[in-house]
Amino acid sequence: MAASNGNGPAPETISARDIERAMADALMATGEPPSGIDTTVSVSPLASDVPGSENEPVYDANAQADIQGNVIPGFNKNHQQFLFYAFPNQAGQAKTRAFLKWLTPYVSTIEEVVAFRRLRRARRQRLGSGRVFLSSVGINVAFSNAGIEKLMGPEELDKLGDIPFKEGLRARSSFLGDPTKPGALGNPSKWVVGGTGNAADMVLIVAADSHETLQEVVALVAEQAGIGDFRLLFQQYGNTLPGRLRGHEHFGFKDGISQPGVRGKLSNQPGDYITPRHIDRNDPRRLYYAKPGQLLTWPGQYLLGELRQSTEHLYKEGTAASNFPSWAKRGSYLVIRRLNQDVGAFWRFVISSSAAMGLPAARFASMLVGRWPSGAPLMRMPEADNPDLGADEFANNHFIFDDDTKPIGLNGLPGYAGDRYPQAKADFLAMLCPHFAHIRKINPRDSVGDLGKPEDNLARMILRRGIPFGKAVAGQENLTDDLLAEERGLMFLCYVSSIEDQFEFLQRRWANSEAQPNFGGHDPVIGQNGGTPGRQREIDFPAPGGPVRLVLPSDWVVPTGGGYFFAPTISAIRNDLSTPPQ
Amino acid sequence: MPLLERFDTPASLRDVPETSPLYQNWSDQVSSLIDGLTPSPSGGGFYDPTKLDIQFAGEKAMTWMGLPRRQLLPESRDNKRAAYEAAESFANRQHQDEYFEWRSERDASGKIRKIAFVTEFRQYYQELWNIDPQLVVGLYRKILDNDTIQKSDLEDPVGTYDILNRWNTTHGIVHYINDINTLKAAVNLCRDAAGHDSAGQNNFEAGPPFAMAPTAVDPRIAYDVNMLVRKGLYVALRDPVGFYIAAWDNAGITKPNGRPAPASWWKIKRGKPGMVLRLEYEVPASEGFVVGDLLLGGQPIEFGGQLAEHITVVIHGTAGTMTRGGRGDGG
Repeated sequence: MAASNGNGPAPETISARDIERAMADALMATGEPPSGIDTTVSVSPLASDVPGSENEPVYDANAQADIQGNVIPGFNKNHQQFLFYAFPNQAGQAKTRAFLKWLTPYVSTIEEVVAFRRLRRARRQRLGSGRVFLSSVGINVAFSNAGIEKLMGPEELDKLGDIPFKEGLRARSSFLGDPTKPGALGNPSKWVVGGTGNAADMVLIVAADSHETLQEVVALVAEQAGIGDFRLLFQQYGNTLPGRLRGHEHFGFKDGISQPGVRGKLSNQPGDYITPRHIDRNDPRRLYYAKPGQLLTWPGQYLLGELRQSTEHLYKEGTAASNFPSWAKRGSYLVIRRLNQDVGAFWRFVISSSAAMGLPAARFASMLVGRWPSGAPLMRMPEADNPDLGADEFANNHFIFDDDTKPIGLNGLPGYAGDRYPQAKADFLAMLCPHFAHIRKINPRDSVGDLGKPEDNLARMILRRGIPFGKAVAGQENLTDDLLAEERGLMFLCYVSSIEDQFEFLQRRWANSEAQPNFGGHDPVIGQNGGTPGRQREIDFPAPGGPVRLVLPSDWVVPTGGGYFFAPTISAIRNDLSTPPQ
Repeated sequence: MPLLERFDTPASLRDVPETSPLYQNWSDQVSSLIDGLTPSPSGGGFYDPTKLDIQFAGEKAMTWMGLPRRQLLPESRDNKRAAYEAAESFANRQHQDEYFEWRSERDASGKIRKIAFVTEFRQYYQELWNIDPQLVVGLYRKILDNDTIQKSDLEDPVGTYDILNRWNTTHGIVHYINDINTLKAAVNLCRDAAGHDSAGQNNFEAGPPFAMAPTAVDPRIAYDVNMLVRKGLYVALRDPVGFYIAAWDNAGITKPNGRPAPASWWKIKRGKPGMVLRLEYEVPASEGFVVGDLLLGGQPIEFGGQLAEHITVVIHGTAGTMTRGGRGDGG
């Protein structure tokens, strides 16, 4: 295999203005985000249930009022604040419980988030276009291993079966490939929270539609936490990128397109699903897709004690988890990683290496990600970005890797013109979307991986709830080195029922591996090679004469904080966590 | 792509001089398994690269996890420790069915001192024995660093090579002994997967033979071979045919003082990078502690399976199209 990083300009000679031009070129095609169809919650249920979904659980009004709303269906707000607290010492435990009693009625549930989404969607449909002027605030809470232990005692903590949770993120950091050199950026000794000596007991997530409302609520929470003698270890404001780049991450790419669908219903009403079903009832793929490309997963993948995905079957239910105490039922593990993104380093590599490979920078960068900046997948648009496809949620995720993708029938969708884009062709040799590409690494779809069957891939999926932090570079004019050097990144959040089998599996076993789920190199976006001293990552870049091995000189996504948490139900907070251990 | 003249030994091992009959015997052994698997020119299939000239299109590295998936899922999904324990609960390694076997060597206190992982075929040692048993004795001594091993240790009462000898079971590990870990089983898997008609389907639909197997390796190979063949491609195992240890993850292994364990504690004992046949993990004696004193992800290393879970095994396939008039003498 040829090896080359040498023919492009040296990365250190690439200026901020060069980066500005490359990003502007890459983002040229990206248009305004769509404001039309919002399918995230079913408003007009289908006339009948989808055949094959008979065994899916129904989450009635009580259950919906019990499960935290950022788990399902997710806040999805443009402004969020993350507050990491340490509880007062043992003598102050009564104050901690008093705070939780105060907080509990504010904690948003499935019921609340769904109600707001329905309201917003109904108004949007009436308006046709334009701003809806509806606003709501979401608050969720989760506790670390130390927090659970302080509130409930070591025995109850021990009953939670997830080893990474009990170890804590800091203890698992090197397992995730994070830098192990003390004092290095990315090492827990440098983390702003969750590292050496600053692990949180509790995290509060406050989400709002405007910055002003968010700050009002944060102030209220802070006041109450102050009364409770809580110590604020760290707080992070997160907001979506401005204007047309809403929904993009700092490197410039549309993020969050591919989320698993959660099986289950909100009532016994026909067709009233948590995840709306859009596949034609005569198409057998209705059994495993909610909408094109959105794989359905059983809720036990995210809520303890519910039926999980079978690891042996594409759409049948598996067993429920058994390794948790009764109070933790329907709770969810929450992973938070504060990930710094070095936009300059990423784009310097792109500009340098794309020149060496003879490719436009935008295309080269898109091959690292697997999608164009607009979100259009390379599998469907190998040659150039297509913003219409990028914004089309019924087409932008409809592709598989190893075989030709067949058109898929949809239920009637008023106002939707249909999938007009070329269908993806089989790319089993990974020439179009390389094996290392971020979206192929962490979501191999139909491809088989190290556990042998595509069905297993579904048991690895996570509910992502991340949001960027820091000032945007993408779309900025007159970009300067000073602006590039400012701290920015992604508050990565995900909910799972097994940190080890889901989040950690994706990071360690796939993103950090040059060989899994398929040979081709490390994930050039989030992968970390923590097992070798130089942390050097490599990718085998597809080329007509055979792949060219490129060396990635540094990490441009670096962890700077976080924690492993557990988000219990409202009833557990009220009846168990707020009650002193017997 | 010219016809392959002879199948090479796994990882192109050269344990004996080039003039030894071992090399032809080994090639004949592989050939006997693959011979006759020459498909019709119209439909793709699994083929013998010594008999059929195929235009190379690409390689497919089929990779899987070393820890037996059967032990991990679904039975022990909520109790990994049980899976690790079960995976090495038998001296005849009957639970290590991923073409990957290992043995944890423990000290007097029961702590792991060393772990050896292997992907070598028993047939290779049998071929060597048939030529000269002392060759096998010499290899055992070298691999296990033990000059006390005698021919009598390795043979049964009638002088046949005993694959279940104590240096390959209770006292050491050299090559596969699990009945299922044979080249023949792998070839049959490829043949059956290639023969399954899934035209016009994809991996969510195709359901090739062994798709429902609880192991990782069987569905992995079956899905990939079937996927290639349904595109009309001809698939062969890449020479030198063998199962190899392709990668291992050293991240997250920490010394008793909390510092990372160096990658150099992993040693390739047989084979070469990319085609490793024997991998050993051991702490140098000068450190004053043993593998069992290390942590992986904060957890004490109590079982070899904890490392096996982070080791990648591979078999390489090649895929191609029929060359015009390019059929070999077997076609």
